[in-house]
Formats: sequence, structure tokens, C-alpha cells
Amino acid sequence: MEKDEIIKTFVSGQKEVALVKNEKYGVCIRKTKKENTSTSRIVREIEIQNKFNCEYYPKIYFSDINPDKLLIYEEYIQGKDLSCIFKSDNYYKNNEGECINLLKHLLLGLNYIWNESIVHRDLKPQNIIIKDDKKPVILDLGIAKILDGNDSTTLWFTAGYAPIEQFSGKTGQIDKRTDFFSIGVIIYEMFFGERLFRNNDEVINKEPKFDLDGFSVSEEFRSILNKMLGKRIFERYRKVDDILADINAIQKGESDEKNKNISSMWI
Amino acid sequence: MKKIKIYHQCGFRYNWNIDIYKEKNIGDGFILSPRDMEKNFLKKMKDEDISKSFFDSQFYALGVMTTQYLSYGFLDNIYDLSDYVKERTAIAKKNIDYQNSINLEYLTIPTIDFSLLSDDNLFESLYKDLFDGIYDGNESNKLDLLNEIIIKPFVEYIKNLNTKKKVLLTVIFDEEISKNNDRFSEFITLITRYDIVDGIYLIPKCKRSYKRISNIQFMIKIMELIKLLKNLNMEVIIGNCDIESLLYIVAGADAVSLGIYENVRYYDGRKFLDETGFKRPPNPRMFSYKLLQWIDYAYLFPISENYDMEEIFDYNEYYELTKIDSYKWNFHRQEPYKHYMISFCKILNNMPEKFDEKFEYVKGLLNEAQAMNKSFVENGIILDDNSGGAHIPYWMTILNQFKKIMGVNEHV
Repeated sequence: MEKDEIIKTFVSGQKEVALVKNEKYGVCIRKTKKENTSTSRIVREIEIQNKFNCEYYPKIYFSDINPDKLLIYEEYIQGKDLSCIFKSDNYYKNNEGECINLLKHLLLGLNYIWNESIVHRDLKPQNIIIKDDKKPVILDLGIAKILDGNDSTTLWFTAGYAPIEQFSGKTGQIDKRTDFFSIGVIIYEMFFGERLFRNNDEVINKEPKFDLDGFSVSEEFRSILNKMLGKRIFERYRKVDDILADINAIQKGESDEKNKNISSMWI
Repeated sequence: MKKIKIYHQCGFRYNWNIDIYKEKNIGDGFILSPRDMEKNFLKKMKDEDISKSFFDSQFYALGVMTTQYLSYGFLDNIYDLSDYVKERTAIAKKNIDYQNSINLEYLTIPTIDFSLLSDDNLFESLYKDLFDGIYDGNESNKLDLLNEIIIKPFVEYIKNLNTKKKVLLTVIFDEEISKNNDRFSEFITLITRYDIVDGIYLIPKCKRSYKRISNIQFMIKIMELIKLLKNLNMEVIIGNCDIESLLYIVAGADAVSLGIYENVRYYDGRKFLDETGFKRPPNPRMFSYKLLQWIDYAYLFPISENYDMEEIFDYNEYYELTKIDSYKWNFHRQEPYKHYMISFCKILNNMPEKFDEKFEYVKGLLNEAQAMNKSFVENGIILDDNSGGAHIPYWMTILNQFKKIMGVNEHV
């Protein structure tokens, strides 16, 4: 650790986080313990991340965690998180194709954890980094819930992204459909370039609007978002495959339309 | 036109169901169940017929039922619910392995009827053991228990089987759930939770004053449930139903059941308890497609004096058999039941596919039944409460209100 060259430090609630250059791992993220920090969340995060060796989660190079010590070296993901993109060059704004692509990759990435009966529970723009190839990497599995275990009934959420069942304490009801809602909020916000819900009251009472001036939304895209944003958990999609099927139908329709246009050029 | 599937709900005298299926091509398959069917009988059924059927394990009174006729060996040495809870993983395996071995159309996850098990002390201790929580007797606690002790072990075992067979989850929908929106939400949240579940085998449970269900709130809520499940691309098969299945089909049910005796056309879990004592059978009845009701046979004479019987009763061959002077009406005669199965299936098979058309079709049937009941009264035929048309205005209201929920206003 002494040999790490610190490039940049980040603000983090639970850990000391820094971008470092390590002799063995090269440029990577280093996480160390803050005073009085409980390591249980971090242990869970590492356990889950280690399970999946895929492009949608940062790789863990090294971890040494015990009640007194925490040292993690993690892959450094080059890119911008969605909250930065939202504030600057939001190329998702009014761009249905890009939003659908992002949605698809988020679903494919999160499906790794859902298949293991794990729910992320804290999806928000800050926790999603977009790489140069536009694929997302999902961060912060610290409050992820293993549905079959008794590990967590903690009331922990980010207001505006958490659905009703999460912030109202109905922890027994939480499942992957809880994440569907948060993803729906994120995609809506990226597309329209504005926050959808600012607090829990709005999550309960406000209906998403799709007919905003200057925006062009297809019926299919609107239908997907509506089915992800159902207020009641059972009003949302039930399976990730159902969402992917609807996405594929849109993408197939677009490519059919493209082909039609190309072939009409030759008539 | 998409055909509504009709499953024979096998109970006492299930051989009449099998006869009518084989001889008259009535129904699409069977709901097989241990209470009244010997295990060996299933071995004798054709593979082709079994492959169109599914198995209702009848765990309804789990822990308090008399096991000798109910278990097919799944519940050997299970004397109460806590025995079951200890063995639940092994029982799920045994049960699903059996279903898999006989190659049914679906694998079916059973359910439990908590109203039959009134041991709150046991529930409290189970709840503490399983969730480290306090059981306060509400429906949420029961759903938690249902999920933990029945659904999860079955889901986990089926997941590991990697089977391509479709999976049904059995659930009882009762009046308590229909009356409380929070309970309704929790119920539907649970039953739609597991990806491997393709459909719901839905058992309506509702008290009746007379023979027909007329609880408007219950019926509207169950129709809403069916609609919500269909929106989620789930199959919906209604078990233990009777003429009211017309309403379930309007709501979108894919399949309904057809039964011989009333105790399979209506769910009453008490039959799974050890009930002794003689019960007087009710009067034999004949199904009227015109009145949408089963009519006490004693009325057949005055009706025949005033009406062309063909106008009221479907004239199939089983009806003909009841017309002979020497015909003895009693519970052991199969003709009225076979007549019903043919007659009611004719109505179901004519059901259109689209919601508006289904609505109009059932509305038409109800209007005709209403008019015929009025005509009976005008002709001095006063049907008893169990044969009369008191249910018709309720069903019209249910249909109208459901259509309103669907976003279209039109009155019957």
C-alpha cells in the first residue's frame, strides 16, 4: 500500500477511496477503511462482485477485509457516471435509440445478480459508469439484498429512485422488480434530461409525463417505461426476458425500417 | 377463435368425467387429485391423456388432514405442520419427482388453506423460527409462511430440475384478500414473484348463501386479479368453479374446470378435514343452459307443462335418458351430470375471443336468463332459492362494474 502512487481521491461515505497506481495492479481503485466504519456492507459487496466475472462490474484484484482492516484493489473503469453525463453532454437526451441500448445493457448486467436472487436496491445515475464503448458498469452493491437469506431488512434507499415498497419498509416484497423501477427512473431522466421524482411523495403521487415539448417518444418505448415504473410492484414487468423481448421488438422494427429505406433507394 | 381450455376436476365418480371425455370429446384434460383417485388408477391412464393433465396435490389442510387418502405417500409420517416444515424440502422433491415421472402437462406447486389450521400457537412458533419475527395473525404473516414453507422449497427444487415443463402455482383467493387492497397487493406481489412460475391455478373461495356465488366485491376483485395476471403474460386456470366461470373467462382466464358433484365445483376445504356423520344429499338437479342454473328436478314437471323443454334444457342424449317414466332421480345417476358437462361446454366453446365480444356474449346469456326467470314467475313457477335466478342481477352488476374498471362504460 505504501508503494501506491495516489492519483486522485474521492469522497465516499463508507470508505477512503482513491485512484492509485499500484506496482502490481497498475492504475486501479483502492479502498481502505475509514475510522468506525462497519465492514459488513463492504464484505457483501466484495462477495457479490467476486461472483461475477463479467464486463458489467468492476473486477476485484485483491481484497483483505476484517473488522480492523480493509484493503481492496479494484479495476478502474474509465468513463463518466450517468450523473456527470446528465449534467454535461447528455447524449441520451431525446435519443431513444441510445436510451434503449443503455436499458438493454443495464438489464443484461443486472441479470447476473438477479439470477442469483440478489437485488441491487441502490441503482441511481451515480452508480452507473458509462465506458467509451457506451456499455455501463454497475457500482455499489453494498446494500444489495440476497433474497433467500436473512441478511438484510435495512431501510436504505436513495429517494427518487427507490419505489414505494422499498421506502415504505415492505422489505419482504422487494425483488428484482424493485430494481426495474429504479432503472425505469434512470432511463426516463436520461431521455428527458430532468429528474422524474425528487422525493418519496412524488414517487407515490406523480405520474410520469411523456408528451413533453420537443421530445419524440415512440409508443413502444413509452410502454416499456410505463411498465417499469408501475407504482405497485405487481404492475411492473415480471421477468427481465419480457422487457428484453419488448426491446428487441423495437430494435428489430428499427432495423426493418432501415432496411426498407435502403431497399427503397434501389427501386 | 381461441378455445377456452376445460379441465375435468376429478373427484368422486371421476370415471364419469373420463367417460364423457373419451366418448363425447368433452374437455381438454384432467385435474388429477389424490383425495378421490387411487394412485394406481393414474398408472392405467393413457400417456396421451396424462400429458394434457395436471396434478392438484391437495395440501390444503396440511398438518390436520386425515392422511390415509390424501398423500400418495408424499406426507407419510407427517402428523402436523411442524413435521411438514422440517421435511419440506424432501417433500417438495418427492412430490415434484412424482409429477415429473408421470409426464403431466404442468408441474404444479400446491398451496395451503390457513383457515383450516387454527393453531395460532404453532404459527407463532413457526414464524419465530423461520423469520425471527412476531406472528400477529394477519394475512401478511400467512403469506410469509406460505412463501417460506410451500412456495420456496418447490420453486427451488423445480429450478434445479432445469425442466422445460410449464409450472403452475396453486393459490386460494378468498374474501379476506378481496376486501383489503393492501392484502390484495401483497398477494399478487407474491404470486407473480417467481420467474419459473408460468401460470396460476386459482381456487376461488367464497361463502355462498345459496348455490351460486353472488359476492359482488369478491367476484370483481378476482376478475381484476385474472386481468392483472394476464397483463403479466401468465396463464390462468380456475379450479373448483361452476357456472360463474363465464365471468372468469370474460376477465381473461385461459382455462376453467368442470366437475361432477358440487364439492368439486365449489371449494370448501372442510372436506379435507376428518369430518364424520351423515349428510343428507340435496335434491338432484338438472342444468339449464337458459337459466344458467341447476334446477331441482321436482320443477321439471311444471316447466314441461308450460314450456318447450328444449328451450330451457339442452336436448342432448343424457337429457333424453332422464325423460323415461321409470327414471329414478338420485345422486348415483350419471345422466344429469353428463348432460351438464355437454351442455355447459357448448356454452363455453361458443365464447368469442375478444373482450368486448365475450362481454356481449355473456351479457346476452344473462339477459336471456333474466327474461326466462321473469317468464317463469308470470307462469306461476316459483323456483326455490337454490334453483332460482337470484344470482343473475348480481352477475350483471359484476360484469358492468368490471367493464368500468376496464375503462369502458356500458350497462347490461
